[in-house]
Amino acid sequence: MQEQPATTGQDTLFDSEEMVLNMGPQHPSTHGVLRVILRLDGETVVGLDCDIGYLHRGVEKIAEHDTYAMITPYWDRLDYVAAVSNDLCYVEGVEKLLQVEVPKRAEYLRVILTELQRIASHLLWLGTHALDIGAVTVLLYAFREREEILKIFEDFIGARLTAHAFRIGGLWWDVFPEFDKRVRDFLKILPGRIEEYETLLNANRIWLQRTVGIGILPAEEAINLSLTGPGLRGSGVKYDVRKAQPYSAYSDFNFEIPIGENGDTYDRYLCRMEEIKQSALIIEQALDGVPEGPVMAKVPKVIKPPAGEIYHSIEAPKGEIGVYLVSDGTGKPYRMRIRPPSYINLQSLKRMSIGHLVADVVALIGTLDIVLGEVDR
Amino acid sequence: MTDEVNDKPAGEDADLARGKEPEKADSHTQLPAGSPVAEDQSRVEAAPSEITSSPGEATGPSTGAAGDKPAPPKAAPRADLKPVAGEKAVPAKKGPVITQEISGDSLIDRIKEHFGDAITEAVATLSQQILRVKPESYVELCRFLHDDEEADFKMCTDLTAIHWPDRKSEEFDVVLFLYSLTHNRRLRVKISLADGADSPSVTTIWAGANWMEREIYDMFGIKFEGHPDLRRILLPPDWPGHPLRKEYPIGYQDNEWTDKHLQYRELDYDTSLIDVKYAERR
Repeated sequence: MQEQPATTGQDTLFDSEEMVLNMGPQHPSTHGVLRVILRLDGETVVGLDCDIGYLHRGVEKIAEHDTYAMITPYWDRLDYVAAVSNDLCYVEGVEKLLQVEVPKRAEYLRVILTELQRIASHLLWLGTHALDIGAVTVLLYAFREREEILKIFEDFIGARLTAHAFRIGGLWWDVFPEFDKRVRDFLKILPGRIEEYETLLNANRIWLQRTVGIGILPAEEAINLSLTGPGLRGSGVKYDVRKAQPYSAYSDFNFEIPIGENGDTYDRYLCRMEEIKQSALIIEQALDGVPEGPVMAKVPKVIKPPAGEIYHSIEAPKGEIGVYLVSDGTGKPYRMRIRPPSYINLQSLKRMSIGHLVADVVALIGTLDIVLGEVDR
Repeated sequence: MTDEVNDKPAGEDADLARGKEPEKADSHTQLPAGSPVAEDQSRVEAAPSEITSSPGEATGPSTGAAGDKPAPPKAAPRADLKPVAGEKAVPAKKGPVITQEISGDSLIDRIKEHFGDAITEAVATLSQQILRVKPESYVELCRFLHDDEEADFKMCTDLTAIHWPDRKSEEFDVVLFLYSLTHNRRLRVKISLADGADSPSVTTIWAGANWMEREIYDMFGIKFEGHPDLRRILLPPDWPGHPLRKEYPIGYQDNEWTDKHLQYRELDYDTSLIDVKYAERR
């Protein structure tokens, strides 16, 4: 591959043709089996296409052949790092369709578990995102705290990752005796640990160079691209389903929705860090206010919602996860549609990447916080 | 296979409603009759049950209103099954009535006034508003909903489709989920399409609808007119069939496709070379 020596100036020295680069599906920074096809001009991205579906298993089709209660575990495996949040979306959707009132105690416990899951998911995001950009230390620190949450899940629900946390109508079990203390202990250590991450990253020169001004998405475009979650809030849009259309017991708690200003990767990082702190606040309020009482509503053994349809969405760590259930009055849904936040958020990768360098695509995949189990369903 | 076997005892009418064996049921009733007159009659019998949803709600909200979209397809095979079904095609309701006409909503009233006959249905299920519009006026309505200040639906939350194989000439519903950030309200817009008909694309209004429309094309085979990049998205490009259509069976493995793509292929270079190198290294 010896090139001819340059004789007529730069045109022959540098190849000006565009190049197609294949990133993934087995690539450590694509967070699973995502294949990104990049068209490059030098090192600058001029075109991008995502090839997804490697994990497609037809959850929506399977749901049409299962009873309502049997579908819940499939939701755990959508966004498998935030299984509890997914469960909440589905069971609340069915409860709404059945018009079942869930006991207050169950609502509060649901909020605690969901917010713990949000912290766990954000910590995993923080660790992997920082790892992609080159800060390995944060990963180890973030996993340390995530482990505490997973231990609580294991003791309460029985599973660490695909926690089948909720049942239609409430919770299967009441909490174990030390639950309150364990969560409070975790909340005690959390602020100090977050400070550690922030010390590592917030003013880190390399971190700033890799994130500030990368993947700027103006608010109008983010809305137009149906972006939700911290991605949208990083662009300065104050939209959080917990506040906009409160579900479960969220209307009982005081918390803020952090928003960014510039809509770049750094702002999205700041938003998520602030969200962790707000989640801790919500958990504290919920722990203080957990009422006594049953944790399961009276739900018929065979769940047959009336003919009709419902859309229910909640604020998952990745964005707005929704379920659209169409019932024909039988024991199985006629159609179940999942609104997958990762799938819809991934669309904006193209818009964010063009004009940036290849290395920034890695940062942008990280900032979108996708989970391929949910993208492909 | 096992799934289908298990299905049968659980809810035989449910399976029929899902259109698993709609042809069978039809032929069963039509075969003995045979004559075109009888065939016409059966179609007439089926027809009212299919349209029950809109007139039913308009005339008798207390009895017919339960027939939202889910009711008609269930009703149709039932009418075939039971010879005495007659007029009352809507099956016995399970649970309360959850669908009502929308009244006293200024935006919906304005839309109705503006679009007139194009809006064929305006109902609320569990206080979630649904508009059904004719496909011709779909894009126009979407543009209005996006641009109008009182509507201001700047975000397309979701877009999906439903297959109703028993509804003649409107087998598909395309359902658009909108959200208005300024007014904090949601709205669903539906269009009905015949099997094989194209749906108008809304990607020019909401760029976020791009992948959602691609997924519908992938899963249902509905083509979107004016979509910039209509390809399969989750399934391989040469995948046969569209899985979320009701006639597509569950647990079905397309061996032809698998053979083509996953078969053991002879390597085109001499493998013994690898062994020699490996031996040498040792």
